[in-house]
Amino acid sequence: MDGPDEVIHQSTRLKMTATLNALPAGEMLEFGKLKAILGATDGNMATHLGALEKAGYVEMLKDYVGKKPRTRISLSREGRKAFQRHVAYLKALLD
Amino acid sequence: MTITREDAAAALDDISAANIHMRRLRHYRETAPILIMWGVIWLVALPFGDLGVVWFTATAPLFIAGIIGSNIIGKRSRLKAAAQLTPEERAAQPNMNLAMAAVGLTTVAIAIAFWPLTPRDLNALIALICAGVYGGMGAWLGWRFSLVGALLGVGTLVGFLFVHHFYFTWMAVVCGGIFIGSGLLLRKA
Repeated sequence: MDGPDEVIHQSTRLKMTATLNALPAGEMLEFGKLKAILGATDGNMATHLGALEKAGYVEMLKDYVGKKPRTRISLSREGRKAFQRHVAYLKALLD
Repeated sequence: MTITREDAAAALDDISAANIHMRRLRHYRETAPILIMWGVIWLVALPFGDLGVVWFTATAPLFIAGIIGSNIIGKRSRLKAAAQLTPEERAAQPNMNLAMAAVGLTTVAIAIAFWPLTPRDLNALIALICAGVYGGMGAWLGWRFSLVGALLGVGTLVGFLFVHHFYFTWMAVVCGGIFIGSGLLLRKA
């Protein structure tokens, strides 16, 4: 059995990855929506997204809609695999 | 890093809550085009009801197109959603075709029981059944659907009880507007 994923297991990052994992493959979530879903602050979001991005678990796409900047986030393929491994680990702990 | 069984259970609960929340948002977004489509159909077709039975009957193809369109959009959404589910979750999904057939047959049965109905009665019956369906969907798929159902129900009752001469125009503007407005809001969920 693989061990826990320390990057993912932190509470906010776990909710973040769970939320992004629920998106169909290829879909992205806007930063503002993810922030609203998690009830997180901008600072919190930046810290935890930074940690996930550093681990290669999330991909962020920055662009503009008109003159407004937009950041969209998705779980990378590696992120999805890591999340699934972590969930399998958690389930195995309960079995 | 040590994770206790309690930590693991709490984490799995958080994951499950995130999945439920995302599924609810997806239901809102995927229902939005259906609401907008019906809003447009009501807005365009229903005012003809105030011109007389013949005119009202002439709009029937629009309603049939709406039923076919809703089925196509709904089926596409369900197929897309099914790809995200585990086999257990897929097996536990409600049979939407059966649910819609039951609603349709119930509407027909009520219409037969209370026949003869005027076009106005029939329209109010269908609108109230729609309101009930959305109200019930709210319990399953997210409270915002219940709000749509409540608004639709109130709009229909006010029109039926108090708007006598331009009932169909009322239904087109108010209830069609509720559909379109709700669809536009839910699309951004």
